[in-house]
Amino acid sequence: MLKNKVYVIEYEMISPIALGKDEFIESIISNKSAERVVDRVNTDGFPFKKAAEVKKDLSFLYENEKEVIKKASKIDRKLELLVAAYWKSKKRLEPIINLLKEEETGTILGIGSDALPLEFFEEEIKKYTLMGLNPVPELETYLNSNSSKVNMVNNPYDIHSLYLAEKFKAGAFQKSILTACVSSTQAIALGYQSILNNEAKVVIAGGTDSLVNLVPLTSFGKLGVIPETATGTECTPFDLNRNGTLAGEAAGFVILASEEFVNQNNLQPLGQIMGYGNSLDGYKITAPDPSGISMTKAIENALSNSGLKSSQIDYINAHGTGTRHNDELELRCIGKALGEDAKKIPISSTKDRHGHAIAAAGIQELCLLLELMKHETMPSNLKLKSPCSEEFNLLRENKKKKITYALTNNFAFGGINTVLAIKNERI
Amino acid sequence: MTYILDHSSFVCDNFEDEKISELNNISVKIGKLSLDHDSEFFPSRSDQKVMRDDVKMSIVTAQELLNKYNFSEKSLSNMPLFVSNGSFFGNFEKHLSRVLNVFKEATLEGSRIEVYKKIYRASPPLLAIETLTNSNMSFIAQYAGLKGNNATFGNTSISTYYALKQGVDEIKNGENYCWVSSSNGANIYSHIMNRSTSEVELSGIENTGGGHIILSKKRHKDNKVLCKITKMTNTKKVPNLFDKTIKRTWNELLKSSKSELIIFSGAIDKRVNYKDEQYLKTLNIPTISIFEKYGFLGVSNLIFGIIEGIKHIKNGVKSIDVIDRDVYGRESLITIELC
Repeated sequence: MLKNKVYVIEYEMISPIALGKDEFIESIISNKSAERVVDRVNTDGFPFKKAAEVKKDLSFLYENEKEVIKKASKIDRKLELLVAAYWKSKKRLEPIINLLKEEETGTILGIGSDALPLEFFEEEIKKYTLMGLNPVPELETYLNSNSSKVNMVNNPYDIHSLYLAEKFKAGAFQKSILTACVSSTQAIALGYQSILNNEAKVVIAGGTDSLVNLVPLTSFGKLGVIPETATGTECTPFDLNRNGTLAGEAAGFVILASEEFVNQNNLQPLGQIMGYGNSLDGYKITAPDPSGISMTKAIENALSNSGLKSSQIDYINAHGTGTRHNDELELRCIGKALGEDAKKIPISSTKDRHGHAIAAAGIQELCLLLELMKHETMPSNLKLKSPCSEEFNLLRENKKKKITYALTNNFAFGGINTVLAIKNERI
Repeated sequence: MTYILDHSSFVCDNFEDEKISELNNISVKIGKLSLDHDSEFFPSRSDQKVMRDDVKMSIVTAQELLNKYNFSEKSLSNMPLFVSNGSFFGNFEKHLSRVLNVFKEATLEGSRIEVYKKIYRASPPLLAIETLTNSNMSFIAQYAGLKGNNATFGNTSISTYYALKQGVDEIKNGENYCWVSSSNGANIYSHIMNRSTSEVELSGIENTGGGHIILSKKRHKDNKVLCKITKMTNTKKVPNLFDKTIKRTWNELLKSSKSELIIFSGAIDKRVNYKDEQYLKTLNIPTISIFEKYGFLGVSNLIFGIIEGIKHIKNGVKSIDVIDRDVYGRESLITIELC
């Protein structure tokens, strides 16, 4: 039996290399990297100074938002990035929003771990501590005393999917996926699945996250994920000398729609979610399974679930974090899953450009992929000097080439592997 | 048809008052978990270091449940696993006390470089792992060997409805079994998170608890299943983020119900629970409150509602509606029936 199709009919993104999807391609072609000294957190005493941060003040984008959301966005960066992504696209999306039915539309977002930005409240923490009080609960209680359900800090994670649900009148469901670096990739996969399961006809799927916050930055640094080098982070995916990732932040969403909805409303699809693979290592919380069995299975399942052959894949947007653990293993699993074809398929990671946005990595990389498909461009591994493997076609230069089918990989802490298969519908 | 093959769970019965704010005189009753260190299924020492207490007990009870069945390695490696999770801070103060002390000792006029150098030094290296939002799911995979399709939903109580719905859909789409888990860690941060959403000034009772349910496509050999899931539905309206008033609309979800018993949850506070009870009284069906039995169990409300329902099905009740309302007012219904 033929499977129903699930299309991408719109998308938007706030990324350190693009304030909106339309800026992506210029950033890629001009080989822009967002790696800069961090502004939002004082890294003066840290062994690293840089991250991929959205540098521009975003508040101009959402100046017409409700006061309580504006206030919360000033503290909760994840909320701010998402609010900015919505307002960036609001006008353009109005005709689609007018077509949506509340009971047939859902939202599903991948959300990163919450962390109170302690660095904003140094004075208050000191004051409460000197008073002999437990500073963080006192501070949070004080900040959250308002008359709406929106906290200034420590919101239930669902606040993000509910925020978008209000904007898109999405009543069918408002789900949050909390699976670290694959959160938004899974949100897209499960959004696709919920359309196939007739749970909704339209799903707004995506995610938001920011590592540019004192607690996540220091914890990832101490964990050895961000290289502790004085000069910079030097995130070099697939390089022999790679030693860590580039902390990032991003938010975005795609609007997924059933074939029926697209046909009924005479819409032009931009991409198609062909299928996905999703597996667990069940190995160790701190490291991926070195055998790569489950990672390989996720890639294989993405292909089989999509009805695609490995020879049809034109490009792979790899997870490629630049960490010692991930990159070589990822290549090995691509090799196992795609066989001889794996050696020919152009592969690149774009994390050396926009950083690792953790829960928003998947949505950032899907939006970027859709733009690459539109502009027939394959991005290079920007900082690659000495490839960790010569067997694969790791792109050294940007390439002008049509992409019809592509895979986009994401893998998470705790051994979760999620791979999406995407078709370009602009061809 | 989706059947419930079996379940396991853990919950606290010892409550202590925790002060949230001295300045605002806010406290909450929190369930304190007793860890079963003697269990043969207690996680390894190295894993314990990065596990919240609710995750430790989740791993013990997951293995206890698994141990009753002879699933093959292959069957487990393809079995889907959907998890819902509540709060992710086990003991924030413990982990960040050294960082907070740096702030305390720092003079605001002093060198920022020295302060931030100390902060970096004081930051705990394993915090990112302990607060990992998929920690429960990843440890279940590690200890029980489940490696199939998966997701962790969070973190209000409707997440468990979504996890179960995903599981039921997997069964409809051809899977033989699906594992659904919830784990709710109650602490002062979960209460701070929830209290602003309440229409009344909360005098809350929050509890730590979790459970596992194995969904099955067929009756297991020896015809052994506990009940079947015959209906799942939820409110299809966008909740209002700017209005704290609770609008009870469970009657709409229960419109065509023929159930003999309603098990309900959602309240964090006795007064709200009382109002829920009064509202449901008008339907003239016997009710049981999960809040009254356990306090607010967050994402575990529905799992405990189902487990309570199964007890009554064993005693001959034919059909039970398990209903819940999350802190944003989203309502859900799961009907379980004798089979």
